[in-house]
Amino acid sequence: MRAIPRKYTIRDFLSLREGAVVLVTAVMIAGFTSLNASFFTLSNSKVLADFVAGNVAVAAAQVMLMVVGEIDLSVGQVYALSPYIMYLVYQDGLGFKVGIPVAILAAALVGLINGIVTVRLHVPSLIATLGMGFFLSGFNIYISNGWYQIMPEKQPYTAVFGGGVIAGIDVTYLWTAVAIIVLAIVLARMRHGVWSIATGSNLFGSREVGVNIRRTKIMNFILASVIAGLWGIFIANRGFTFGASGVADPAQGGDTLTLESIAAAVIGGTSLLGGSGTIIGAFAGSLLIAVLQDGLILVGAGAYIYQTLLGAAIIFSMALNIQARKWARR
Amino acid sequence: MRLMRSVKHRNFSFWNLFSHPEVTIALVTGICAVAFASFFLNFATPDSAQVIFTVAGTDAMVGVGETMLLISGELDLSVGTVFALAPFLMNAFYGQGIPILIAFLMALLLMGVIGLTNGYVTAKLGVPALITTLGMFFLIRGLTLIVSNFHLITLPNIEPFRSVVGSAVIFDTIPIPMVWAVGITIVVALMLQRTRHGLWTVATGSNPTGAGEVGVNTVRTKIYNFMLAAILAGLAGIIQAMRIGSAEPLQGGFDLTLGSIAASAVGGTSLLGGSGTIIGTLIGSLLFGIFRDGLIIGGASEIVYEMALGTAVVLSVALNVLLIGRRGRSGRQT
Repeated sequence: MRAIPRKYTIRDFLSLREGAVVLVTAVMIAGFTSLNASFFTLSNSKVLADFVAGNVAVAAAQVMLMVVGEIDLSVGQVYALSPYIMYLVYQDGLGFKVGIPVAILAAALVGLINGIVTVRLHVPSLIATLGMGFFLSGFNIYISNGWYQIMPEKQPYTAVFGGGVIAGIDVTYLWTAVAIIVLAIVLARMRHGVWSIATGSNLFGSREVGVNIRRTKIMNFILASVIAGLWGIFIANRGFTFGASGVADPAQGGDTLTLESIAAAVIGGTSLLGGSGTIIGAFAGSLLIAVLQDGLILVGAGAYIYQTLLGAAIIFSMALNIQARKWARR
Repeated sequence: MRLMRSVKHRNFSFWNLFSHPEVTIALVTGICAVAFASFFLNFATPDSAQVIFTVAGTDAMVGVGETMLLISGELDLSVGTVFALAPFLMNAFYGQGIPILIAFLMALLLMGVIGLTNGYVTAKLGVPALITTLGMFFLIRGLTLIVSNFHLITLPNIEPFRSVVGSAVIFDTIPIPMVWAVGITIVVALMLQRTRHGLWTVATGSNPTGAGEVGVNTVRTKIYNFMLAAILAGLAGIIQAMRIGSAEPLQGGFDLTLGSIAASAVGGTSLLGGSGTIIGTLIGSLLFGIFRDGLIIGGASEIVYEMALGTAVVLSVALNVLLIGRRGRSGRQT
């Protein structure tokens, strides 16, 4: 919406929400490559892609929620719930054909409940989804007895939902690319995106001009849950892509996924205050986390330091981002 | 706030009682305790009470710090890992030949530095607290793993330090963590109601701009509360470790963080800032302890507890919002 400046400078780049994180990620990739040449190889890019593909769609959905001024702490548990429900239905002899839709519906139901509790009962979403997270982590263990289950049978539906490979590329990568592009277009160009931004930036004002703020919020809660459930199914079916079996693991995802999805969204430049967010930023944030995690292992820094540096990276990049944007706008 | 209450008491009605969030939660807690006691004979015994108080004590200490932060309009996600780091630091100092009491105080001092960092980055540099403390959560967990090398440690068994800080039980019923929790609750509750810092905390949380205009140092108020939350979390971690006699690098964690926020919210503290109650948080922690103990005694598992806890958190906050809304002191957003 800003007028196009006559000459692009570093200030313009840094005034972009994604600017700082893209810069930091690029520097990190260059740094890790100079320390260990095998970082910049095809086989390692597959490692990075696997991490990003499992994580970024959830982060993008988290961005959509943050844009309307809400947050979802239960996505990590939905990520484990959906594949297990798929497994249970499959186990009943109904197959994946019924199992996958039922699993997605279950995820949508979770999102609907989160949305209704937040919007209708006026419970802050942090608490509503925190409660949902506790409930689901108990529920996941309740339905699974705490055991993972192996799904040996490959069916056409599992190939579509994460178990297939097209021209050497996992379908999960394609799904992820589609999700990122579609969500970016929805947020930037479609009515739902405009409504989301309006709802997040000025709740009462946007209601006055006819935005259905309740439905917008609930839709985004459902979106976040469905995406978490769907990508949980993709990851459960991932074993099929290299000739192994699918695994429905009730411990998959969890708080780690929730925290990393929030981290990716905010590193990417999405504001927690609502009204502003970027899907591409979530992608860059997710890539930054993957690069950090993978690069530290490749240079032999040990696994423990990863969390320390991730934490430091979050704090520093955000402080830098805010200071840089202040400087760029001066 | 206290002024507002005394004015409204002129037309006292039944609903006025429930406008104090502590009353609602105390009532629910009482009903739960009576229900469990009447169903299960083993519930109302000294052993059972000891279990409840032990769990609730450490949770309440972390929760009280979180409540002060929530009232000032901020939030700390890192308390769960700060909780885990503190005993390792104390043990490391003690291993260097430093007397245990000094090592204890040094560990708490470093927790204060963590809180100071959280506060500085949030209040001064303008990074939202959720992000700052999420980063700090990862940072501290990594540090704990490095310091501990992922090994469990046995803590020095020095009397009377160990008894006072963790392992003593008074009258065979009340474990020392609960005594610490009640003491801290009273001190912090008085601080909130009677001191300038308490007044500034409420002012900062309810109207940061306005408070700043009338001369409240909102940045310093927030930084103090971040430091308080980190120190209390570290203290609770040391108390738990001294009680058990060992420390584990993954103790606490995100579950403890969520539990402390849940206890504050259930106790009647608004997540929007500006209003909250310290005693409510203590009662909230007790409620969780009673729930867990009662369900386990009743033969249900930890799994059912988690499901019940999740439901209880949402329902009680919804109830509080509803009851407060009834009095027109609206907590509503949409």
